[in-house]
Amino acid sequence: MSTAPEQTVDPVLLQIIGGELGSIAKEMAHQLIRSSYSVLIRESEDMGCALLNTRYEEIAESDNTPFHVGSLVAYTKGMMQTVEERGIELRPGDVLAHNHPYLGASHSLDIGVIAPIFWEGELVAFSANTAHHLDIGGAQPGGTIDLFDMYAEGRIFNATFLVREGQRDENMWRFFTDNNRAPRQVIGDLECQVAAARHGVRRFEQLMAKHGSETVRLYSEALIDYSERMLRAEIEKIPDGEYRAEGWLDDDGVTRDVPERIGVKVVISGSEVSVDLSESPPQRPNALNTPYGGSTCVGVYSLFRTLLLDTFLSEKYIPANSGGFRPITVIAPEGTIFNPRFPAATQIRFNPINRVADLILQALAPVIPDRATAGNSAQLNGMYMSGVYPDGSYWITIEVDEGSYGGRPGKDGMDAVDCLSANIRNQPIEDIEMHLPFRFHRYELIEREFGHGRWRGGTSAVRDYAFLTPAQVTTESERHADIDPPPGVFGGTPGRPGRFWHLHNDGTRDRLYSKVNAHRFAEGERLVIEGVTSGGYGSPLEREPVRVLHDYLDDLISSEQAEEIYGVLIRDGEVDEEATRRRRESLRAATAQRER
Amino acid sequence: MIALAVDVGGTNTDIMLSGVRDGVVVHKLPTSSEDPSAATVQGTLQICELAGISPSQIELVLHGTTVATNALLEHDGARTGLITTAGFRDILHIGRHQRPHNFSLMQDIPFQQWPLVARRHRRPVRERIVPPGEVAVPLDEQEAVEAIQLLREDGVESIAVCFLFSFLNPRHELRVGELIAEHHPQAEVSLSHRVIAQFREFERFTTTAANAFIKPKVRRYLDRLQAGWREVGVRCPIHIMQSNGGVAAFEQAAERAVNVLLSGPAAGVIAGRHIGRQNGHENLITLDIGGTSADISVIPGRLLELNMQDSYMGGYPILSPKLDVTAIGAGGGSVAWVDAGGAFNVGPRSAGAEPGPACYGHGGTEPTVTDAHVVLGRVDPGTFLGGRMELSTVKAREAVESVGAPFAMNVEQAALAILQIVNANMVREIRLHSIRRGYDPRECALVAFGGAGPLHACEIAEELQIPTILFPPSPGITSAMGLLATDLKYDAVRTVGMMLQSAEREVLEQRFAEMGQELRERFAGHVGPEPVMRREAACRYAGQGYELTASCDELDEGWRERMQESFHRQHEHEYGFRFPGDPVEIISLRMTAISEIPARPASAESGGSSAESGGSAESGSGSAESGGSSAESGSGSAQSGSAGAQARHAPDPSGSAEVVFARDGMPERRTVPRYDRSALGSGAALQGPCIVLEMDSTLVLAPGWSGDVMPDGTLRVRRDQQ
Repeated sequence: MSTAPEQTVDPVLLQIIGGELGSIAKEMAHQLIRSSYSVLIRESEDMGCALLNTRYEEIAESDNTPFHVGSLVAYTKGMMQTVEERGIELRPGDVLAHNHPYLGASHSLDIGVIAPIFWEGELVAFSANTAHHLDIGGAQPGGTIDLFDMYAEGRIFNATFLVREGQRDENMWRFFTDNNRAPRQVIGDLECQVAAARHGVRRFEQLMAKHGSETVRLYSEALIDYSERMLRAEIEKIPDGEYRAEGWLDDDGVTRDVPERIGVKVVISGSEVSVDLSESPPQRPNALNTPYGGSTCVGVYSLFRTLLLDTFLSEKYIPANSGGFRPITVIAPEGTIFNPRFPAATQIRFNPINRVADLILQALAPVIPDRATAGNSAQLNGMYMSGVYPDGSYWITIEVDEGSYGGRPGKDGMDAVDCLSANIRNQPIEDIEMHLPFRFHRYELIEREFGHGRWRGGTSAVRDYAFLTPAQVTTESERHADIDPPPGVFGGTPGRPGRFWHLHNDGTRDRLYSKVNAHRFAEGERLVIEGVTSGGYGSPLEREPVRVLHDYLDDLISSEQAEEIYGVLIRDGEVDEEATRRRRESLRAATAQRER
Repeated sequence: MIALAVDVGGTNTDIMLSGVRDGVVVHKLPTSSEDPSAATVQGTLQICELAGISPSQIELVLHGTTVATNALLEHDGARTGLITTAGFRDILHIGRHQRPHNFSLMQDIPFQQWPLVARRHRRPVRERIVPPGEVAVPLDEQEAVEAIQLLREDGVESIAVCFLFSFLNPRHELRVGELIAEHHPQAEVSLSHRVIAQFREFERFTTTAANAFIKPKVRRYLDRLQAGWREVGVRCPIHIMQSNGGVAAFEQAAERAVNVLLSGPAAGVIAGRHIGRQNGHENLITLDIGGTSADISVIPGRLLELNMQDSYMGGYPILSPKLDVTAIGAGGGSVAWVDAGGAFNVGPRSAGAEPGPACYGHGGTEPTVTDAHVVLGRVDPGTFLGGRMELSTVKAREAVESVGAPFAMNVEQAALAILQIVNANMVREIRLHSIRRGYDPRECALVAFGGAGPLHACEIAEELQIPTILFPPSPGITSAMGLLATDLKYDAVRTVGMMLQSAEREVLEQRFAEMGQELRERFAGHVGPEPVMRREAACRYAGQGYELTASCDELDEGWRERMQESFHRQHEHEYGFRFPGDPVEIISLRMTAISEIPARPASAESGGSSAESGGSAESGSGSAESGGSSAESGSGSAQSGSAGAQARHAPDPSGSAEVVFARDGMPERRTVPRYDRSALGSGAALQGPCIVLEMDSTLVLAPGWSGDVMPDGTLRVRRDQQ
């Protein structure tokens, strides 16, 4: 690796071409988000757009949801494997669909739409995007846990032509329309994806027309090298060594209440890092498996980008491209949940890899204390919901509910946000109630039950709504078991597991498991979702008393908590400084006693 | 009509007086950060003296202010309370549960870090409205009164009332408004359906809370300003610039403070349009480059608004109509730097005013865009700011050299590289807002202003193949001129949420009638032409998440089909395709009322052809500068005199300059003529390359461009035929 700028590359042109490539990817994404139907695309931006070279490396990416970082690399590579095996000749004007989880797809619900780009008759690049669809005609509306194998997931596209040399393959479109529960939305979204892919082709052609295809190629390579250099420089700052952490998944979704262990080993060596997931549970007999190329690797890449190229801390935007993946190796033996063997189902795949991301953080925390957080929620609550109106028509929606972040050096954790690889927007209540049979009762912060510390853990939210028609819900979640809440660090206390409740019309309630398949609700019954809250950073006795006072005044903690956990005594809305000092002394002494 | 325009920026207060004997008089003085109103009143007296009028002769005051903006961005507003639906106390805190940064552990979420309303002042009250507007839970008035009393005891001076679905039925919000008036009469009140009757609770609640947060401060400022003006004899109506490109009457602006958040950039757009129209151009791109940022807007024959869903300020969503102006971190102070990966960057960070560019000699060592201009001979160190600030060429060269060294560039190559990169950033932004949205820059004229706009315009126009550039006189105070070209403009919105196919005309008409009524009330007391009402509908294909605007003017025979077609067309324009058979939903209705203000600088009405005094911008040099360094006056420009357009002629240069241009990518030093803009009369013809100096700016006419000074003082240049 050279660390000096390439002499042959004109730095001015590098900025110009780099900026153009970035804006092409962003334009594709903007168009897709604005015109699409699926809430997961339009509100949650559960999608990504990229330009790739003929080695399937990303030249530029739209950076919408962390979990799509680099997934298009695997999609394109998988698609081209099929194209080559079948001896298909790609031509200008082609647009293909691809969602095969064993050929690069992130999971089958994320359909990739890929258009080859030609210059003077030669294949030079790809314009690609992927987006989460409401339904692909699988066993149940939306997503399903209890699946026998990949074929039960729904329609699988494997380098399937949607458009051939500019002509739509109407048979394919009709076939998909006929095999879908929400055809208007899904077909609409697929149209948007095709339009976005073509936009990328057009803009890339313009760029080549302006600068010449060879120049664009050369500078694309230089940009990838550049991002690689930036990441390597950061990896080198971490001391070489082997770092480990372990965590627990609630259960495998079949045998209840038997937690499964994940062990993560991170090896730093110079400017290279490898993440070894060999100590992972065996693959599961349902859809709770994570495809290796499109999801497992992606979750790891995303974490390193977050940790090492924190966009809040640096004024410099590092182009998102394959350079950021080169220094990272992910080891996951075949047959484990992170690299399942064909044809295991993989539709509900997100949570385990988000836990891995957090475990990498925990493993590295001791050597980068100024960068690492206390334990984060590191999951998401994906709620796949559907029902039938009195007239027999379907409603289908997907909701992703928030978690939180652990306390940080110098800052409290972020409250009620999506965590790590998830960064999705909620749907406004006022939008949902105007368009779906929902009635909301509550959407508020969770009080009192989060990690305490000098920098408190982020709290999460409770969301409570009734279904106005009979409904069924499949849940994608983790961290509901008591075994492994987000840990506190440096003396902070842990966060609290999440909970799902089913409130019956007679006033009774049941607690649901984190992962339930097609759980039924009668009309008027309510679902209550309580997010996972995060761990605290540092001892609560070190927290500035005025912050404790504010948390108390804000009803986030009780006066008992202020006194017993933080050692802060509040009288008439003010901190009693003297009593606080005494209380903290005695609490410290008690802690010291215990530790002896 | 004698109109006074006062644009208070962070650094300078720009003042213009139109309708006086000499046409337009301009004046500039530093803004006082403690009390911006003081400089304003002082400047008013000074400019009146320059123009030889008494303040009592002023017939209209137009004012642009950053008071609201600063209060929001500096988190320096009132202690604010919120009364909201029980069960939904934390909508302001949870937001859309999305982090601003995808890739960051250490980021701040602005609305969590700096809440507009602390949680202890967010008081839930039992009530609930559900679609389509029914009361599911009646308002618990007892609870509401208790909440108000608690807020009063806590010293809250401004209260936002935000209930779910209040835009469908405002009854509960109105009632709580009455209860506040009864139980905490000193409090400012902001009801969410009044601030913006749009769905999406986080955005509406935040906009309302922001309004409540900044309102007391804005009102106090305006009251003080009004009192100051009254004291010196200004008795006429005072209008305040809003983000939507129109002005609001004084009281309206105080009540809806959130609408004036982006008044500065909006005034720049209006100015650009005015200059374009005066010179016969309707399709325009405006480029306002200052010290830290460049404001860019595209005007394809009409003013474009930002989609409200894209509208954020300081990380808070602000749902208020605003002109589509984008700001990027590219200006004279933008710093050039090389990062760890070896890339050559310019901006977005700026050296600011202190230490400023290296050439200022105030201790700055980092190379900036201004330093590059000095190295290339484009900015003359001896005449910067009319000679009031000597620049150091040596320091500029040292700084620029340092950034070029890793790339084996000599100092001139590095300076050219800095300009190329900063220009490319602006070109990319203009492309994003023009070509991507279906507007062709080749059909537009570029209006270049701001202190640094005229330095960059030719090269940017070249890159975008823009054929014409308009350089208004006194580019440093162009925004103030925009104030004189505004209209009185108010907006009203109603979220309706109905399918177009089944929408009833009567219902839509009723909503428009309500809005018309509301808007007319806001015009109460306004003397001027009857407002023109414009009606629009925000639509989407049922199931989509973002709306586009369809026209909705007359609901007569065939209105559904017309509206549908208008929406399809808009969708196609925006995204490149339509869904022909898909049902269309009307999400919200909007009405805009516009009443013209007869304050345009004289030349506007006549298309710049007749004998009006054109922008014979009068310099108040002598007297205005009496305050020593504290007051800098606008220098005279375009002294066309009262005789109107003169015959085309080649003016005499005031000197020459050594300027470096790029030729086939390599620096080439050329000796070019230098002109003094104040000596260029109407009809003066210039041929690039040359340099035109004026008090607050330098204009670089690149090789291949030539043009004439127009009757209004604008220099219009065109690319030479090749």
